[in-house]
Amino acid sequence: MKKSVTNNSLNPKLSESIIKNIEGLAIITSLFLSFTVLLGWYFEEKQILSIIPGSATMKFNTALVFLLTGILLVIQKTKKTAILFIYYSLALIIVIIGVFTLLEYTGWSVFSIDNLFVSDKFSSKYPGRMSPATAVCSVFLGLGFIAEISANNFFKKAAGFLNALIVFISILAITAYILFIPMGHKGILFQSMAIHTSLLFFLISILKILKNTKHELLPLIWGNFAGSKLIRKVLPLMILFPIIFNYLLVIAIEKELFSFDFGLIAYATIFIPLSIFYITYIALGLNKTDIEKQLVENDFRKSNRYLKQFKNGIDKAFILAITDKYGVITEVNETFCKISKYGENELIGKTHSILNSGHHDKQFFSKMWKTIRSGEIWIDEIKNKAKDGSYYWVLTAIVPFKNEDNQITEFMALRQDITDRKNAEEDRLQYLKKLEYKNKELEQFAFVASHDLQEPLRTVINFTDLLARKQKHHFDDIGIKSLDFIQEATVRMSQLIKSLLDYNRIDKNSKLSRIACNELIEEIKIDLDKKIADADATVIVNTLPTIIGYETPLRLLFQNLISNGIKFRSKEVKPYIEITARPMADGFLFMVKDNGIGISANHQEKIFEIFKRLHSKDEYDGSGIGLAHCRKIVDLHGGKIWVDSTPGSGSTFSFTIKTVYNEKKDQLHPID
Amino acid sequence: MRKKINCILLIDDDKATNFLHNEIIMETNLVERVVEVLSGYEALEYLEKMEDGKYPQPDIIFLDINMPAMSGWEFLEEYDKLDEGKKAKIVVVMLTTSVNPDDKDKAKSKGLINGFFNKPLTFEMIERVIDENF
Repeated sequence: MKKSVTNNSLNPKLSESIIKNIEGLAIITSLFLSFTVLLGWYFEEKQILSIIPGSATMKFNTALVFLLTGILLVIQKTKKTAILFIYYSLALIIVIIGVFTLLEYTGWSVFSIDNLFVSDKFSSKYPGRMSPATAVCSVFLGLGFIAEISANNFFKKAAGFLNALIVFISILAITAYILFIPMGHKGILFQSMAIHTSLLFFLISILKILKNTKHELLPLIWGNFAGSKLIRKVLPLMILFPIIFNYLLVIAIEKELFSFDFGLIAYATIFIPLSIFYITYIALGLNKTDIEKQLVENDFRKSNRYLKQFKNGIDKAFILAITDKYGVITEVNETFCKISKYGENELIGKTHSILNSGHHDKQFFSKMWKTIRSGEIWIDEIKNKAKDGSYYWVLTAIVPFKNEDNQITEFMALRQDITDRKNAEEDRLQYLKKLEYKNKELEQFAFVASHDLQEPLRTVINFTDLLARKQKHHFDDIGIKSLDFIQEATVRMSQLIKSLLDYNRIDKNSKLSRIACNELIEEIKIDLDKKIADADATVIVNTLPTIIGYETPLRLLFQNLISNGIKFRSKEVKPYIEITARPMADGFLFMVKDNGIGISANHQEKIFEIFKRLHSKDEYDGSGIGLAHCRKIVDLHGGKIWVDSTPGSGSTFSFTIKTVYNEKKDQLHPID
Repeated sequence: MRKKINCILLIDDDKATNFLHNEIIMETNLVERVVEVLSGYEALEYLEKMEDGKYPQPDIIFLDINMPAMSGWEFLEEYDKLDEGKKAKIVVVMLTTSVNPDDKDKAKSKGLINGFFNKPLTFEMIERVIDENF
C-alpha cells in the first residue's frame, strides 16, 4: 500500500529523467570547466580563472579534482565494473589532493603539491593552493565516491552524509559570494574558494544525493502531498529573501545610505510580517485542499458504508462466490457452502468445475466464458452437483470486476437456489407426458371398444329381426313384448356406440379453414329443412363473422344447438331460434337463443356431460351425447360453452371461438 | 307359507327393466299388485294421489338411481319430506353400477332405505326382502 502511494505522488519515469538531466549537466560542466581552467593555468589566462576580476581563482589542483570527478561520473554512468580499479584509484587521488592541501595548512611542509603542475603567479596568499573549504570538499567528495558504491549500508549512509556536508559548504560559499562578504574577514573556510568551484561542488553533490535517494528526496520536492507543496512554496522565500534583502542591505550600508543598525532592524521588521502573510496564505491554501480532501473522504466513507450494507444484503440473500480472472475461487459465503455441502477450505483454490453435474455441454460453458471475458454479465440456469452427489439448480449471474484500466481482475458469481422450481417443472412435464399417454390410451380404448362391440350387437340385431319376421306368430304376449324390447334396446345400443365413435372422431382428420358462419348455417338450415318445417320453427341468423376453425365439427356444433332448440320445445309454443355473434378481445362470442322448455339451474352444468339426459327417452329422444359433443368442439377451438336459462322461458347457449387471423395452427388447441 | 304382500312400486326410466321386474315379481306369487312408473316425479305423483279415499302406500319400492332429470338420490330427498302416511314400508335401491359410498352411507344412516340390490331383480331377492320385513 505504501509503495503505491509513493509511486502515485511522483511518476518514477519523471524523477529518472530529472536525474539523468542533472547528471548530464554535471558531467559536461565539470569536464568542460576543469579542462578550460587547466588550459587557463597552462596559458596563464587569469580571466578564465576567477570569472569576476579580483575574486578568487580556481586553482589547478581544484580543476584536476573536477576533471577526475567528471571521469568518475562517466564511469558511474556506464556502470562498467571491469574498470573498478581505475574508479577507486581516481577517487583516492581526489582524497589525497585534499588531504595534502589540508596538511599544508597545518604547517606540514614535507611535500607540497600546491605548485606541482603549474606555478601560481596570480595569488598573493598561498599561491597555487586551493582554499581549505575546497580541500575539505575534495576529501568528502573522494570518500563519497568510494563509499557510495559499497554494498554495506553503513557506508552508503555515510556517503550520503558526506554529500550533504558538501551541499552545506557549497551553499555557504555561494551565499557568502553573493553577499559579497569581503575576503579575509569572515573566517578562513571560504577564503579563495572560487564561485564556479562552489557551484560545481553544489551541482555534483546534489546530483549524488538525488541519485542515491531516488525514492525519497525527489518526491519530497516534486510530490503531491501537503509537505511537498509546503517545501516548494516556503523554500524559495526562505532562501531568496535573505539573500536578496541582505545583498541590497550590504550595498546600502557600504554606500552609507543608512546605518548597519537600521539595516538589521529593517530586515527583521520586513521579514516577520512578510513571512506571516505569505505562510498564512500558504496555510489557507493547504487547508482548503485538506477540507476538500476531507469532503471527498467523507463521501468515500459514506459510499463505502453503503456498499458494505449492500454487500451484506447480497451475502445473506444469495449464494456468493468470487473468483480470480481464471475462475479460481477466492471467496465463498456461508450459503454457498451450505448448498454445495463443501467446506470453505475445500472450495477456495478450486474452480467451479468441482460442482459440475455433467448436465450442460461444453458449448454452454464456453459461451459463458466468452460472455464474461468480454466484460458482459452472464445470466442463466445451471445444474450443479453437491459434495454428497445430490443435484441442485441455481439461477446464476456472473459479474466481471474490472480495474481502472478496464481489465478484468475478478468475477463475482451470484446464485439463487431454484431447485424446487426446476423439480416442479420437471414433474409437470412428466405428468403432462403421462396424461397425454393416458389420453391416447383412453381414446384407443374407446375406439376399439365401440368398434368391436358393434359386431356382436349386429348379430343380435340381425337374429332378433329374423325371429320377429319369421317366428312371431309362435310367440305369446310376453314373447312378443320381449322381442320388441330386445329390438328397441339393440337399436338404441347401436346408436349409442355410433355416437361414441363420432365423439372420438371429432379431432381426427380435421383441417383448419376459413369459415363464413352465415353460409355454414344456411347449409345447415337446408339439411334441417324437414325438421324446421314439421315444427313450424323460425330460425333467425344475424350477421356472423368469418372465422378460422374446423369446418365439420363447427357444422355439427351449430346443427346440435339448432336441433336442440327445436327439439326441446313445449307443445303450445312455436320454436323460435336466433343466432347472434359479437367480437371479443381474442375471438368471437356466439349465442344461440331459443324459446324452449329451459333448463333448471342445478342442471346447467350437467347437460354438457356425456350420456347425460334430463328427460326420459319417451319425452325427448336422443343419445345424450349432443351437448358433450358441442363442448368438445368448442374446446377444440380454444373456447368455452355455457348456458343461461330459466325453465319455461327458453335457453341461451353461448360459446366462444378463439380466432386467429394469421392462420397459425398452434394458436388453436387441437387435442389430437 | 309366506305372507302375500299387497303392492310393489317400481321406479325406473327404462320400460324394459320395469317389464322384466314386473314379470319376475308376479311369478313369485307373493305380491298382489305391481305398479310401474318411469321417473321420480311420476312416483311422487302416484304416492300423493288418493285412491278410493286413501293413499296407495305400497309395501316395497324398488328404486333405480341412474335416471334423467331426477336421480334416485334426488327422489329420496323429496320422498323424505312426505307424510308418514304416504310412505312405503320398505325402500330398496336397485343398482346397475357401483355408486359413491358416501351417498350410500348417507342414505342408509338417514334410515331412508333398507338395502341395496344389483339389477336384475331375482326371486331370491324378493323372497329375502319379504322374509326380513314382513
